[in-house]
Amino acid sequence: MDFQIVLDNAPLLVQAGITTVWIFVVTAILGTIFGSVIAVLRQFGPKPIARFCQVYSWFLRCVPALLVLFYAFYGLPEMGIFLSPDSAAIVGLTVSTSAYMSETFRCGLLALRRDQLDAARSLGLPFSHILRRIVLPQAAVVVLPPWTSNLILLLKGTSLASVVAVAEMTGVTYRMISTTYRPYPFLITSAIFYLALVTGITIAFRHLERRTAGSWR
Amino acid sequence: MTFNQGINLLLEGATLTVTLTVVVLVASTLLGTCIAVARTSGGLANRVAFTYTWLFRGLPDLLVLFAVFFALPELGLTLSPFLSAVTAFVLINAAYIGEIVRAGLIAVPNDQREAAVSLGLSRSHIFARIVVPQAAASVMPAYISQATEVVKGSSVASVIGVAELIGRSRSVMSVLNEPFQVFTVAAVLYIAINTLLLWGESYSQRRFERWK
Repeated sequence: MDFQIVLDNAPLLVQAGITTVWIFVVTAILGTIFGSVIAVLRQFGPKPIARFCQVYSWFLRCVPALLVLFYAFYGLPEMGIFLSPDSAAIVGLTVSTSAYMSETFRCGLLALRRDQLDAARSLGLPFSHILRRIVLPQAAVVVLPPWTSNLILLLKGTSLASVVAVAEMTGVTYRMISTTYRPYPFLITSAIFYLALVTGITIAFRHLERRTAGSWR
Repeated sequence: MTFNQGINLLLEGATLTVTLTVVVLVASTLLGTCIAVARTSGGLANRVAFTYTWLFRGLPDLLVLFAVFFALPELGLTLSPFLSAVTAFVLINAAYIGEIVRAGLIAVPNDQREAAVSLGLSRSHIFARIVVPQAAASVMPAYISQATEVVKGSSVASVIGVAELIGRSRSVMSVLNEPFQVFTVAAVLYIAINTLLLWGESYSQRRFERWK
């Protein structure tokens, strides 16, 4: 097997790798923010909003991420919102992952003992303070492992962006295979790319888990 | 094409999604159980199974699908898009189901096995009648949740031209030019399939109660 052909196309593949990481990082940050907002609203928000968040999370976890992506890519232009493929992919993936993230964070909130909140309230702490100093540190310990596996699923999910013509790793691999007719070198390169990222994330967060478990319990 | 014809095409797509899911679940449960047994045994089998799990849980579904669809023909094995999708999804889900089954096997207390050995039951008998029923009861929620992942994951098959629900909704959408309506029908069908699965879970929970 000759990997020269991969080296010849290196600039394109590097660009694709950067696109994948870029989409992953943006959707991970946005998904985490929206996910935690939805989880908090569902737990502490007024009834109609809590109910809406529940339906939101249920609906998005029932349908494939690809369908959400299609809504963003084909549906939004109908409403007069025109996005580039990259932005559509980011919107679709963020909406989809925020539902999974919210469930993860809700578990963290549920794991929190009720008397902790009561104690904080009886001390007269403001809500934002309770959230930041009482809820978050304790929830983080519970949430970190499932959050990590959500991140890994999200990283793999970025490959779906290729379906709406984003030039990320899987999409470029497909394009290279269909122009060079040499599947193996490109498939193996791409596989190594994803495995390295997934393994890196796993190791990094296992380290973080050990640290948080030690300091906050 | 009228909207009703479109709905009929989407229903056909949903049927194919269900077929794909059932075939993939049956095959990957068998393969996954083998992997779980290999993981709980020691030595080389454990290491091979571990590497397999690491590999297929680390790769995007789409990439595995491309590997099966484009690389296997180079080895002289040409599969139809449907069979390529089945092969790829079985390879991936066997890794996930293997981990679920392994958790179930570990959850069965060792005293149960020891008691069965002391009664003189054969190894295959112990596995089939003592370990599997108890493991199955404890892994059912995780297994059903993985089954819904299979339903949703099967949508990726549309990329290599399998006319399952997403593939169908994309082509119907391009003819009718009504993305919101078509995708919403598809979403409702996905929700229906997944709701059926969740009912199956509560049913199985009730049945497994007697084994607890």
